[in-house]
Amino acid sequence: MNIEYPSDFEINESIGYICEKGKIKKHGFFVFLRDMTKGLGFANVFYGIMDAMLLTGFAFALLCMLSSAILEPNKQNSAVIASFALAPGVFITMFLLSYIKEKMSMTYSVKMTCKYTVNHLLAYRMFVFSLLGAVADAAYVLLICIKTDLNYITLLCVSLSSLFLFSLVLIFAVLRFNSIFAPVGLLIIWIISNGTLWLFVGDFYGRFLQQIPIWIYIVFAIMAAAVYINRLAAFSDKRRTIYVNG
Amino acid sequence: MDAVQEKRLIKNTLKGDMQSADKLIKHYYKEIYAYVYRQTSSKETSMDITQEIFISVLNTLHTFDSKKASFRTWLYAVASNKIYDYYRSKRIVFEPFDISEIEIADESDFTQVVETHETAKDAMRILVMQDKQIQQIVGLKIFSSLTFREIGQILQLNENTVRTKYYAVLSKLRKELEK
Amino acid sequence: MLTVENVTKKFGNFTVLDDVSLEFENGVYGLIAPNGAGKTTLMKMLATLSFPTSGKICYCGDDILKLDEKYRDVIGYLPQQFGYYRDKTPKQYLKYLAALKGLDKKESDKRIDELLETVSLTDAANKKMRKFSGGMLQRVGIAQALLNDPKILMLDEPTAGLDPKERVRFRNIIASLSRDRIVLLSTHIVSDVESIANKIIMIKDHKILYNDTVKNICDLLDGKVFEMTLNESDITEFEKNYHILSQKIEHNTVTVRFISDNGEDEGAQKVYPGLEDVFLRIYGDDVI
Repeated sequence: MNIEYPSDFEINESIGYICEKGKIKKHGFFVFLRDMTKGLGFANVFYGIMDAMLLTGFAFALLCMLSSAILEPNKQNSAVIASFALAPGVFITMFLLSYIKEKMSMTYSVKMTCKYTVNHLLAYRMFVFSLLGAVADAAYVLLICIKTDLNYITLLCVSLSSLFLFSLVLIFAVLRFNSIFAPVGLLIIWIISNGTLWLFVGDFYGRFLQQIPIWIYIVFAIMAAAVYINRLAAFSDKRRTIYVNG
Repeated sequence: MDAVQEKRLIKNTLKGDMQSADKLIKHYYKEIYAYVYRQTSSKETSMDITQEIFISVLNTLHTFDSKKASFRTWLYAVASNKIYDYYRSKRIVFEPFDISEIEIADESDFTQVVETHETAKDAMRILVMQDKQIQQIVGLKIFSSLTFREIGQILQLNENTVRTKYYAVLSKLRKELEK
Repeated sequence: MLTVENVTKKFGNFTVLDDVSLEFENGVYGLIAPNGAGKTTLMKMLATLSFPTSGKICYCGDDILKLDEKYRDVIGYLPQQFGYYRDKTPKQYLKYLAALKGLDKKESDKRIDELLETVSLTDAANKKMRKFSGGMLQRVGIAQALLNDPKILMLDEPTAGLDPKERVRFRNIIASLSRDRIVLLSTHIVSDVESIANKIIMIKDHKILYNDTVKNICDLLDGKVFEMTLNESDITEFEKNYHILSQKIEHNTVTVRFISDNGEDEGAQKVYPGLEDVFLRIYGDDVI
């Protein structure tokens, strides 16, 4: 068959157009953050949940005041365990409030058909909540150290590693189940296990946490952070993860 | 271009490297264009459709699974769907083609059924009444050099199923044309 | 073109939709079935809120799940239960949704004003939505679905909660929109779509029963629908012998519409079947 091919010039023109129209954006979590901040706007990411965030802020302030009142120099063990167990506090509160609000809101359907879906919003928020949680932990731990004379660096490592561990498990749970039961279930397990350890082997638990070398905490934190960011990227684009890359 | 080079180009394209995309598309452009042209006989239309095909390829490249099929097979899957959509939405019957010049791998079956230019037109009219899968099987078999196995991969059918359906529609065509 | 290709949707062992195939081109499609028959499930799959158990849905030849964000860019969806923020005004909410849809700020601001005008909410544009009636909220929902000038507009039970006047207004809006896009309306209120739909799709027993123009569907019952006026006292007897579609009560008589092959024998008048008649005939006991 006599096929009438386009000229090389025409083909190149066409391919140029194709590459423009079908341009593939670079992927990665930080590209995602930048795109969303520019495209959607930081304020819009938190549209409708500012009240929940304010609530958390007050709750945290309250917690700080309470603990400074209770803790004393001779309760060092409890202080260490508290800084580990309570580290995810601010983070999980903000996350739960935001997650439940989105999932239960009637606006869920409409939002899921937009360019920026609820998953995008949640991934972005989760990242911001992690940062806020870390700052809150640093402040809270400082208060404890002032009160109990413990080493700040050690306690900071304990606290932040706890936060990283918790958020890592949380993102895996949410990716797997994507329902309210994931964060709630995790929270319950966390409270029960920490509570049990504190009640029955409190001394050992406290000493154990203090004796882990700093470098192990740091290595763990870095690895956990890397995996966490990677999973957050996957969560923001859940449908992409359905397909396997060639 | 060998398989390793191609794999690298695909990987780079997915990372946003449009120069790799350019090379990749250039490698397959004429082959896909020819596949489209044989069914439309129009340069302009073929260029349009081929362009749409490759834009789709870029848009859905992240879903290509090299374990399931080769890139070339996957390309034809996109192309086949696009051509079907184009003709369905514009309600055009395939343009009559000059049978004697078709380079069909297995000339015996189809050309035996369709002997003249006139019967080709009638054959086409009957074919567009069949369901999408049949149309795709016939289109891919006649206008490309893909094997039954590759067509099966495209349509997610067993190789034998494709073969059976193909010969079934040919005998149906023969019966209808004899009327 | 939007195509549904051999789509089956199961929830566990229960099949909601069984091997459904459809093709949509520009125009208005009315999706009719009683509640629970699968309308919303189908719409959700078209809106990518739900995924087929088997089969696929394609837009211009590409699987909509693979197109991902590029498909969402061309759709507008109004769910059955439209959510909103009580403390926001429609203008604020629409601005927010426009941002979520990735639309340019300046252009969408202008578009929002136009849309509010189209759905007659200009006066209430800056009032908090907690004070809105069901009909007003529904109109916000319709405006939202049109923000990105979608190629595919899907409205799930859009007239629920609208009064008769609002229904007419709604029909006019839809009729004016249908030229360059696919409009899919699902409803169990036949009169909403009868006059504006190019094609009617009816689902029964988890499959597509009809996918045709209003005229062709009504023709199926042509010659079989009759109307007759009876005394109230004669109704019970009449019911035993004939399949009654509907009754209209006036003073102390009843005008019945019923199905029969030879209704003239009874002295009834033959009438041209309406879509409502077909609906009642098909779904009979399921509806009431």
